[in-house]
Amino acid sequence: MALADTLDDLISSRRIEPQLAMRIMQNFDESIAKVLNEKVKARMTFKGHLDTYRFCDEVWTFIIKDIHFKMDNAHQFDAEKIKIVACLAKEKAA
Amino acid sequence: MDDGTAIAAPQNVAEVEQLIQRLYKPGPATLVKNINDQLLQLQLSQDGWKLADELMASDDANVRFFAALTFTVKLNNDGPTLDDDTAHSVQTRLISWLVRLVQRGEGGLVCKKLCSTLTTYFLRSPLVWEHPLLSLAFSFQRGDATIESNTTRSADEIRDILPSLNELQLRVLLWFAGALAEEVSRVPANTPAHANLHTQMENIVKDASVLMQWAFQQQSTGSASAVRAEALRTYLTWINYAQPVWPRNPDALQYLRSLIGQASQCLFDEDLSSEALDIFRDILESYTTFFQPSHMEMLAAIVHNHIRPKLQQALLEQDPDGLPLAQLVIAFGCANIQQVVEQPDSGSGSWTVVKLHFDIIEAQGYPGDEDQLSIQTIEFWNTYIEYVNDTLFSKDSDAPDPPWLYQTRDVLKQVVELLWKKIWTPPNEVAKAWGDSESEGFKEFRGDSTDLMLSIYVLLGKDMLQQLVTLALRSLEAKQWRGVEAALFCLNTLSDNVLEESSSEDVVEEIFRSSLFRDIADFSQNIPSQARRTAIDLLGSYGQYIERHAEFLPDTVRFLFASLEMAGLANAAAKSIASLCSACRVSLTTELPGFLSQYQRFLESKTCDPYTKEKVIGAIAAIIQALSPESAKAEPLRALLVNIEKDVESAKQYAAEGDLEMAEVMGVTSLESLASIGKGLQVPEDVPIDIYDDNEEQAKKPSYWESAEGREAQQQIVGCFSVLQVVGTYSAAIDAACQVLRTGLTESEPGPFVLPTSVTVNFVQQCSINTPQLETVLSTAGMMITQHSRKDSKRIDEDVSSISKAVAGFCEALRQPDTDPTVAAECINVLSELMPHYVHVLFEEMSASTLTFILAAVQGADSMPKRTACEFWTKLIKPQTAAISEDAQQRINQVMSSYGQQLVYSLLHQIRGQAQRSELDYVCEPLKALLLHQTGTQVWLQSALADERFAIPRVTMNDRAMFLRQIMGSRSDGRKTKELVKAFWASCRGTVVSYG
Repeated sequence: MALADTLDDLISSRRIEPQLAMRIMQNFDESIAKVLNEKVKARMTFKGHLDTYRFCDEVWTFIIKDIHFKMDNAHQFDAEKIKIVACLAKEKAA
Repeated sequence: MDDGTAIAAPQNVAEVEQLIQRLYKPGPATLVKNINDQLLQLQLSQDGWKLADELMASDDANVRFFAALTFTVKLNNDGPTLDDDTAHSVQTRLISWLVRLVQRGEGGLVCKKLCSTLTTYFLRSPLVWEHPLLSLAFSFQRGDATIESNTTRSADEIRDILPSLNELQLRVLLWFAGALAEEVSRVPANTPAHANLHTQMENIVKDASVLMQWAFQQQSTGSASAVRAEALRTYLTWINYAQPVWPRNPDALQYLRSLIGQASQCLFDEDLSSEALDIFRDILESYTTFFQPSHMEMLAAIVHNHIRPKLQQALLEQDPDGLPLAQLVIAFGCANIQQVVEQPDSGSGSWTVVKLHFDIIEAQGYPGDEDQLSIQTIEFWNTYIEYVNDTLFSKDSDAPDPPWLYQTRDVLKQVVELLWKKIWTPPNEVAKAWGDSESEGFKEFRGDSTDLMLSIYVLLGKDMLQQLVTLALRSLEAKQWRGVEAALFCLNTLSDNVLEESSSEDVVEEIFRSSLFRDIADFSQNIPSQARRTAIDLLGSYGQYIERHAEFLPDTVRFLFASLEMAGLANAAAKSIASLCSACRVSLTTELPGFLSQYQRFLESKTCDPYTKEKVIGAIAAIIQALSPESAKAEPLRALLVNIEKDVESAKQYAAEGDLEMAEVMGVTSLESLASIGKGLQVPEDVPIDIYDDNEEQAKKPSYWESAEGREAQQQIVGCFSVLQVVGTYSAAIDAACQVLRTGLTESEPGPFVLPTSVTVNFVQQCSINTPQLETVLSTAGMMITQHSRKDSKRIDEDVSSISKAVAGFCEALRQPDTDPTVAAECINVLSELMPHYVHVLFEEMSASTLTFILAAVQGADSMPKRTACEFWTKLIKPQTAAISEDAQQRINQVMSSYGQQLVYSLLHQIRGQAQRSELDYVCEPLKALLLHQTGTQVWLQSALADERFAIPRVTMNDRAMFLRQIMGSRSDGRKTKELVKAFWASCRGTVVSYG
């Protein structure tokens, strides 16, 4: 969102054209997915009670309650409720 | 003030050229901005078209690039409103320039920019351009712009033209084809306004496929190779375009599918194979269904006959060129996973794929170091096991197992053994030569491998556990400690799953009954410290098992305490002590006196540092928590608190001596250890509830911690806060003090750390606007209010009133939210927490200046206070979620009638462009609430929209009136309101509604 905010500022002040902004956003989306996949080493595991789940328009939504998180640096913490929204990273349409 | 960067408006084309040349040279940012502003004015002026045309004739490539950009800017601005003649003239000029520049051998920079400009023309012009590729090809052939009439044409026409074009012309045509596919892919396919563009693409793909076919047929040597390379890139761009747009359009897709054979020939071309491997991998990964069964057969043959021998050779020679080959095999395997699993011996290369993945893991080298391939194979095995597990879990429970399952289990057992072997830690001489990158890479592989094993365990279960235990014991017998370590590392990862099945205990027992821990505890044996650490971790991971087998427990903990004093093992031992004591707290209560004295000894040892100290003190506190009755906890707790008090005294002593650094270390350690005790003393969440014990008399009985004796222990805890007198100016100390308070706030029953609410109130009252981490203090206060707002919890009006007063004081001291946005946000948040249960307190303590402060936060630029302020107003506007007094409701109504107009103005100030895109969601919330619950909203909106201060050139009065009509019509549809606000905001900002 921070990038979108910055691109909005640049388009508003006519420093860049919308096409370039969209290209930057596309490159960012591709690169961030790659970097998160390849470079981020941190891991986390969690356990909780699956309260609700649904799969609408190719988007999964999970609402999990009473979750216990374990980070790989041994740090642990709890949360009352989390929502996970996920979609396929690959294969946009079949 | 003239800082030398002011730019005078250029008077002629030559001066414009000079400005452009200066723009592309390094210079001060203000100069670049000033030049840019001047040039932008020219681009947007009426003479922009003429200027672009004249600049195109420049000798400078940067100027020609800028000329093409000027055409793009004009098309973006005025394209849709051009009359037919002007549009036609622009199209002709652009093509004419491109043709002439290519004839002169123009470089890629300008040609690509012109292709992009032509694409903008295609998208923005009111004239339909049916055959853009054919037009450009024709124009190249004739040497000047030739626009075809919009009649139906056959793909043969472009086929006839292509042989007459030179290599540069072909490459430019390919760039243009690629730019078309890329730009149109960003245009939404599901809106009527844009549907035509996508329909046109169904025709353009015919010309594009003929073009790419011709390009693929070019010679694979010399400069013609560049045409083939460009064709490959264009091909991928078109496939990426087709994927979301043509999922149900096999006819259009067929034009692209028909090129697969020719494109695959690039895999054999020495110059192009690397790029071709990447492109085929990309398609296999992201658009598997693009390939039909016959294509998969073809790729299987390529993998078996062409890639397999090359990859095996690369593995043998540890040649990094094997990477793209391996990646293609992995992508092919993942794309074909059903075939690979269900028909392992089929002719589609299933066994080749599996065998190559084995070969990759079996190859020499450590992952992260010289072996870069093994880590890549994990993705394939994850896909493999995911498919197997999905298939087995979705079949009926009484249906027979699929016939391939036996072989699959066999394959996965081999995978487990290969991974175990691969994650052996390197000998010291190898590890010493490693840098951070190699160590991190190896660690990552171990993590990925054990994650994969977790998935495999779901299928193999106890068999896999037995396999790992056997590997561990076999290595132990051979004193092969790296093998032992690797197996224990895997067992650690599986612990949560293994412990869920009591039937696995007999297998785990083999480890605990072996000589493993005797050997590990024998510090005279030469055992790698990593193996010792992993064995210590195992004790922490299998705490629940040890709890059920009390015979192992005392020795285990004693061994851990002994390890605590060994350098290199202390941290691992402290961590395992913490998790073991927490899990086995009930079984360890008899050992408590011994542990307390061991802790005293440990405090004198060299390995005692803040981390180990905090872990161990928390571990002992967990055992104290298991003591019963409550009064039994007091004495050992006070024994622990004595150690904290010593640290507190020592911090004060250091401060008195002027050693502030040590005072901070000791002071923060004392508070962090206190928080650790508090955490250890928290009642575990899975504690059984005695339903027969839940009678009213029991509930009425005061808790031990409310008695004089219990209060004494609590006083001792509160006394430790006195250390803040010397370290209260340090953020870490305030943070730790808040942690102590929070450990009690989350408890539902009285306990030693469930301190009287006055302690938190006093803590807040002692803070000033200059207190570090004031936001943490405020959030702790907010947490206390939340806890006392729950159903059946005790209401604490007086304390909440004191906190509200303090918060109002902070708001006053801040004057404006932007003085300290974080603190301002937390202040507003605390006030928000007062609704609904303390809403009467809210209005008792809140002055007009506080409300104005919250309103200023809505109107301000800082995100955090803006967000909490929007939440505050939303809560206030919506009906309260609990019953409130009539008087309180009247006060809310009064506030809304006094502040409603101002609030609406502030919200519109954000929507007219002040807000960032990321803030719109929460800025919409109070507006949605107003539309639904405040009858005066329409008048307030009307007045705010008509306000002079709202005027923006981009948005006319008609636009504003339309927005008002639409937004009032959307009052019952929150999603619609949000969409309208976003579209209106985008018009006001002059930006796009979405980024696709």
